[in-house]
Amino acid sequence: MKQAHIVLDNVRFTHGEGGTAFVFDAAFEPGKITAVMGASGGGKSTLLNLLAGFLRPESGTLLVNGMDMTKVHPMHRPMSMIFQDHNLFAHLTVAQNVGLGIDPQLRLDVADNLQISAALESVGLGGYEKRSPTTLSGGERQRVALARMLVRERPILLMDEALASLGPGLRQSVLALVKELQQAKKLTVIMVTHDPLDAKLVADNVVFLAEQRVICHGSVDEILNEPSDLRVATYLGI
Amino acid sequence: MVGGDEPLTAVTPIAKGLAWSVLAALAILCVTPLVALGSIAASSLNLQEAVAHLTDPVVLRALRFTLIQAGLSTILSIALAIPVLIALRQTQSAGVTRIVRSLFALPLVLPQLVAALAIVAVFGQNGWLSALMDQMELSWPSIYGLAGILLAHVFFNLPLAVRVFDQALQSLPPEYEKNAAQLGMYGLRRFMLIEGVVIKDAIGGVATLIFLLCATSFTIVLVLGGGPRSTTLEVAIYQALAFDFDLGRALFLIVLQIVVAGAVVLAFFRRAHTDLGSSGFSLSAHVDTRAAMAGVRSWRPGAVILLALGVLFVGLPFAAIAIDGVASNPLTVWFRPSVMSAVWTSVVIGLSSALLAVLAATLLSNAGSGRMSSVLPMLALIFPPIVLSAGWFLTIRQYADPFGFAAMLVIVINAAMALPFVLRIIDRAFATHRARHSALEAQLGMGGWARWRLSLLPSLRLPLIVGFAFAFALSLGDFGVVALFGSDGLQTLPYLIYASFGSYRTQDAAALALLLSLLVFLAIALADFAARQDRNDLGARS
Repeated sequence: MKQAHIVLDNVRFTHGEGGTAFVFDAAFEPGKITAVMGASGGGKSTLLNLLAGFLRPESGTLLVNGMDMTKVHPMHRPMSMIFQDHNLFAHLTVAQNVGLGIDPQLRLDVADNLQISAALESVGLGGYEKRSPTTLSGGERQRVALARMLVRERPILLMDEALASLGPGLRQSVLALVKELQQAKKLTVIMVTHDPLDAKLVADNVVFLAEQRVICHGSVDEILNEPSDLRVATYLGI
Repeated sequence: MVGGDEPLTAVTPIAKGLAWSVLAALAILCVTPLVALGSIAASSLNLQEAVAHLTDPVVLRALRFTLIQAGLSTILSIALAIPVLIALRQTQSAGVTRIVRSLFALPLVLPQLVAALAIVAVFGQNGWLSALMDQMELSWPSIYGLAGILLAHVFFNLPLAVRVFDQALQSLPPEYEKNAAQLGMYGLRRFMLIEGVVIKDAIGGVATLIFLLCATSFTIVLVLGGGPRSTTLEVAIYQALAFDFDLGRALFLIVLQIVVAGAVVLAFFRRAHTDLGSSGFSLSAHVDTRAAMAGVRSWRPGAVILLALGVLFVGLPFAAIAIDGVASNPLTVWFRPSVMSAVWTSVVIGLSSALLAVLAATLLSNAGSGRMSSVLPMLALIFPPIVLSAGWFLTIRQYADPFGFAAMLVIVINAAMALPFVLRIIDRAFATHRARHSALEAQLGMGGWARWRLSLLPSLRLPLIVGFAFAFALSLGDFGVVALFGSDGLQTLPYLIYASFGSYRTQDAAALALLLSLLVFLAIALADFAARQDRNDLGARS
């Protein structure tokens, strides 16, 4: 897969009427994991929803490898997004949920089913095909979502607090899986997280949001270990 | 207290006693006429006669027609509701969504008698559509009979089905919408894979509810049936008592009605796990979870047409009430002494029965008898007003003049009919209150009157007002009980409307229908206004 270079150029969005506008200027390094951090209300989820196309910006441009994605429908964008919860349709089986990534009309042939099983195998859920999502743990559900991301073969993975409801142990193991998949497929990963530990564990870069815009952007070391910006230091408690 | 589910605020013996007396009163209301009728039957009828009724062609025809029209009404309502629902879900504009949802809530409180007249005004032989057809020189059939009944039942139940399904779909997490968009799921297949599953779960409960509502519908069939060929069990009971005075047949029909409705309830409500009427009967608009997807969904022209047709079908009868009412020189009709006194009678009966219903619901909810809120609606459908009033009519007749007790019976039966709906509104408020405040009440030792004054009533004020308005509106528009008990001594507004319509004074009927609708919607609008004030107060305080 070609590594994706993402650029947001003056992308502006306002929630509701009379709200303050978010304005994003950012670039995400291809083939790396970038953690998006910042206090609640800073615009982390808004940023990801704009990237995925669930929100339409009022102005500005979103470029992926130089192509204008601003008006492209979510399904045609080169990305998969994983949410904190409800990534799986509870009434479909694990295999069907993954299969939607191959054919959204769910017409699957033998080859497709083999591909689904292989994807489940590579997220550590071999043999889970017939299970219902309701019987899975939170960590397992996120693994199924990752398996679907694999069969979709999109070069960008967006994670919107995807690990926030998992305990520390599960979180680490899913993060390790994300890192492993990212390295193997050369994915560009953008993950929203509250926890500096998540970022330190797997991320290469950090984008820090405050006051509805990006206030700093750099390597994990620069931003999290020796923050030069007072707002980042305050947020981290150092 | 050991159990984790036990409420922290213990239910006092007084509260329990009051709740039990409400239940006892309900039991007496439903069972007494049955017992009394049974004893009449045992003494005056012999077995041969009873068997004769089993093969009575009038009875058989009524039974068959009841089942056929209810089945067709159910199928049509649901089959037409689903496309309208799909179109509604595709709408991007929050304004359009809000208007459609509000419009679809209106038939819920519209008196059946008024609706029947409105259906005639729009679809009847001298109605709007036939006038349109005349211009194109096409003939228009009479709607009296099955066609009219189906039109009226779909008018009431299509919006009900849309609302229940719509509410069920609100339980889908907003992420589903985003997932589906990202994965490129669209069209019918997408609907089958996501929304269809929710609808499939809800359809059994909705269908059973609509079937029972139509099988027990009285006023519509009385007005629009137009002859012995299209008579249901309910109307046959009324005719047996009011015209033929055939006690044996009336009795047999009442029992048959209870058996049929009871069988449907037992057969389907056990399996259907849908929370019956959780949304269909609430008047408040619900919150839209789809705001996050604004601008991404696409609205197809087919959806616009479907939604417009649905809105026209539900909206036209309301337009007919307004336009025909205004055109009938209403002021001269409204201020006739007979009308003024009917309004007074209706309002007094409405207020009394609303007060009774709200009181009973409060006493039940306070004792934590919330589970009753899922059982009572079924009882109300097994014992529809005409069955109760016919039963009591025959019972009282043995000892006294039933017309002497008319007002009281109308009040009590109307209250009992409104109780399931009112209970649902009030019980939910009680449950929320318990969850939020019972620990605090227990810790502070708030009990008795102090708990009511300082804690309960302030947070229950709104649901009490809404429940009261709803019960008042139902009673105001009721014709089922009054049809039998109404007389020169007891004339309510619906009774006058029916008399005018029956004697072809169409202008008077239109003017009175407008008046009744205005009164009903005024009550609902006042409650809605109070609700909004309350919400604003809360907003300002927090």
